Amino acid sequence: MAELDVLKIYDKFGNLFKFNCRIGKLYQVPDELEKEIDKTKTIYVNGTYYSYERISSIEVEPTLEMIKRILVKQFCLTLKNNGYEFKGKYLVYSKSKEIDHPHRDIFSVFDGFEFRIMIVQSEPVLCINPHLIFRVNCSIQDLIERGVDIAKLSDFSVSYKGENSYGVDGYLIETLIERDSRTSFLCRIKDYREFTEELVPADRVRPEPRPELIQYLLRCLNIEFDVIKMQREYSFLESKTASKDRFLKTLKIVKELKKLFPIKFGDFEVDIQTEPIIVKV
Amino acid sequence: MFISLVGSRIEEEPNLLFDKADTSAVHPQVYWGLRRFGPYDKSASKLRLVIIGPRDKAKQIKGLINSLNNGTSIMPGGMQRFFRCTLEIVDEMIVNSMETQEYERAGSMFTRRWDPRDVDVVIAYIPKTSRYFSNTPYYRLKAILASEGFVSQMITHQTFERLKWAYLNLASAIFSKAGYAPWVLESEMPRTDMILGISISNFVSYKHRAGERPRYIGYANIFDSYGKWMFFEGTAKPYTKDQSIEQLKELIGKAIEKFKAEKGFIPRNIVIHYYKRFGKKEIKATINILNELLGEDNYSIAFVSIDDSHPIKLYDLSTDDGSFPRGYYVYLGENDILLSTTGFTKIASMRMGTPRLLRIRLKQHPNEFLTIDDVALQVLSLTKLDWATVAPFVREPVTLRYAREIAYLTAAISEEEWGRITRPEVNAILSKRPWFI
Repeated sequence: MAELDVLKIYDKFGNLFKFNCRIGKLYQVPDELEKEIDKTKTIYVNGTYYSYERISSIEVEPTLEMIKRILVKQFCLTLKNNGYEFKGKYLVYSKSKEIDHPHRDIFSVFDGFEFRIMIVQSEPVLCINPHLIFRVNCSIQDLIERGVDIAKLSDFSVSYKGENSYGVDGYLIETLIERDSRTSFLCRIKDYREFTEELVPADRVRPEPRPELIQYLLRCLNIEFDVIKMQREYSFLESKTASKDRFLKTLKIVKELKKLFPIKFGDFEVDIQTEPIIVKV
Repeated sequence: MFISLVGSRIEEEPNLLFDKADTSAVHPQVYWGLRRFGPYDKSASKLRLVIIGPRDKAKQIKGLINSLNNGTSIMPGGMQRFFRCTLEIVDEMIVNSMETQEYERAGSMFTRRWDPRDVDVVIAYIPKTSRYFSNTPYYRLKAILASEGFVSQMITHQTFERLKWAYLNLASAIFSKAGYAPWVLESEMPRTDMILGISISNFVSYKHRAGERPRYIGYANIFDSYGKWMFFEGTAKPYTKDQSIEQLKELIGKAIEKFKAEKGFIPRNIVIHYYKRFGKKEIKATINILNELLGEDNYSIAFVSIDDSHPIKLYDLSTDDGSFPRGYYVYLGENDILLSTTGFTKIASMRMGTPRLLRIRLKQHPNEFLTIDDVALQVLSLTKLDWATVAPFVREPVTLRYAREIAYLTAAISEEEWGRITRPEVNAILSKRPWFI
């Protein structure tokens, strides 16, 4: 049944799309090979690694959970190999889908999507939802150099590169001038995970990419630009047919993703249906 | 091969009751119910208010209170008709600037001057700030007042910009914060004695990106079988790893004791609403504490997780905007549904965006006393019980909405202030008023 037919016959749908899979075999990875194996070909389930490559003679019939996990892994790898970027685990965007606006030196907005792979009625399905993705392009140091008062650079979330770690999330308690310096600044940050305080050079700290915070920073820079309005426009919130618009956008994203399929790995071959799941009430 | 999801729908909007003593005082919509019958609880006569704000705004607030008493086009007959009481301003405190420190100063001075038993609600004019920031007049003043047992209602310039409907929302919030129930459900939720909306060891600072303090604390809002908010219960112990189970035990124990004292009977069918999936440890701990308190065969409990953090959407192209109608739900599993609470409905014309569906999962022990369809109806009913607004409904059930409100507040409240809020003398006042809405 073609997509158009489905839309003509039914009127209720979900943003779930069925995978058509040829399920292959998985092979248990022996303990002694765990460190050497190519992790892009494996999944880790209940304390054991399984590979889609015939790495041992212990052949396993994959369970639904295993199928789901190997699909997630291979789908993510396919996205990455095709130039998609990730924000967290499930938010995806392509740099080519950046939305144009006059302050891209401060922040970027991408027309991306959120995904999940789920099991519905014993079948793996892909859930796709359009999602606007924000990224901050300047550090706290950049903001100071552009004239933001350091007293205003406090009381919000940041991400930073710590001494030994990367991409730590924390809370900016205050921004200080480094002793004996007029041009170097430090951020006193409380790490969200450990809840310990540390001083981090301001050029290694970036504000959290939240629209409210970006709006605040623009105001500190005396820039008149309505970030929230932009967010609302591209999130269909200004539309009188918001759900219809979102649904059509979802179909468009899936059509584009279809180009990445079939995904082949080991004995597996996975394709995606572009027709959405039907809902009967 | 196509797969399809099967669903169901709740045929009729749950009705609301607007009089304790008259079971015919019923309407499906809050506005018309209040206008026609007044509030559910008609025992209030005069509510005492104190104003905090800049001099010119204090004057504006006085005008607003006058309008509430005398009536407006949307609220003909004013407080007397809609809430069967009047508002009286008993004091005002002027702030000299709109800075956070100035509100902190005024708040502290006010709490020294007044006894919380002599003031029903503090009305404060504050600048509009984002929830994202915690060091703001809103959070700081609210925290200072609450930690001394005072309930507050904040007003911003936006209130005055959209005054037409804001009057009634304000009136409802003031009335309920003064300790009176404006409306409840008409029909009792079947086979349900008590509903707890809980939030435990919620690391609010991390989760909501607000505040610099870790907030591993527990709190519960307790509702009766008519969806009436009864009281709030919180724990004040500082966080240590794996303490959430202890907090859960403490919360449930206290909630059952208080419920029993207030209602005069022991709850046997208990429903717990939680914003995420229940862990095995949490379920086991809850069962253990109930076994201890009520005896193994003397109760049934339903663990209802209500999660909106998933990206699943449903659409109905036969509606004007394509939204999946309110009250419709689909089955993802035997005890697993997706419920639409904000899609197309006849009782509200305005819709914003695509409905965020609630994924509801149900587990019960030791016996099944509710079906997932019963739970869908309960959750939908509870979207009509947020006393902070006279809108026909809100997106989340009030059980979760109130927990979320507290979560935001606790991110901005210091451990010392939270400790004071849970002191017996303060708790005695605050636990029976929804001060956090």
